[in-house]
Amino acid sequence: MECRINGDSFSFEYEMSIHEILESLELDHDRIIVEHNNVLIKKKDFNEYIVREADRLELLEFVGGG
Amino acid sequence: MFKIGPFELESRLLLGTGKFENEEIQSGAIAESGTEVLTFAVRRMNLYGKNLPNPLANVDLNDFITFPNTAGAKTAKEAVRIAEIASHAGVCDMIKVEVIGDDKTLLPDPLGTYEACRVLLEKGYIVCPYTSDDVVLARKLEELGVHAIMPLASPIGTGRGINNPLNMRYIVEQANVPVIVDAGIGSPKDACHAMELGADAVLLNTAISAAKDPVKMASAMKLGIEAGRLSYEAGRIPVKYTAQASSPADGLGFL
Repeated sequence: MECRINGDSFSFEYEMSIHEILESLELDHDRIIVEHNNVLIKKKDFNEYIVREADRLELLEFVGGG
Repeated sequence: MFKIGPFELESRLLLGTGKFENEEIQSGAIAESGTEVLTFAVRRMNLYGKNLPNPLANVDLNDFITFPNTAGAKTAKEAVRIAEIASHAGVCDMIKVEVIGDDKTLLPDPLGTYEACRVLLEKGYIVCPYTSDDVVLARKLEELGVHAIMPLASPIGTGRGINNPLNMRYIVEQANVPVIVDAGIGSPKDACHAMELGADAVLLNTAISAAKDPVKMASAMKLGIEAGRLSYEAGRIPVKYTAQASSPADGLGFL
């Protein structure tokens, strides 16, 4: 399965939930904001949403700014 | 005390969180500034440098009024999208609407800013636009219903102080919502100047975070803002062309 994460192409062996993708990328769940095909996903739903072929994920966070 | 929308604020220093060298300095500066409002930005996570420090990760945003900015947006649509992301994440008590219209000067796009404010107000946000020091734009944004006006002192990060004090004064005098001077402040003198002109508050970032000692500068800025506010309330003397003796002119016969 190939999808785009933050604009880059990523390959996974099979379709995975958002939760599983974050685990495989070793990303901190607490900090992250996830947009799946332009829809913002709540943290509690990370297990339910399955990322499929050609899907787009944006993994965002808050950073310092003024 | 002053109010932005429903929020009652004691501190007149709003603090941006960018460009601090490390989390310890940032935490120290935040504490020393006495701020109740923190500004921050939304960005893509760096998927390849996960161990890079994110100083903001160590700040408990629950302790502050959260004031994300829409920095990076060049259109109203992008600004609205960033606001929606921050709101979704539950850290958007108020939104700093920033739509940049010129890459070189980082001056805001007045039309894009106005449009973003219109949409966000309709969606129920507490909206505070970052604007140029344009008196008419400030009035039109207020008529639109924004909760504060945030005119720049001078371009972002230049530390040039208040470029056009006359415009700033006009904006303050006509405004019925808080005026927060945002961007371009370099030193406590500038922050004090903004407050003496009657601004309700100052939003700072680089002037503190890029100072040699940010924690000490946070303290200096706090004092500058307090002094400026007190001076505004006390009412400064008018500027005169000719000297006016402070000591009595009479009683000099002994000389």
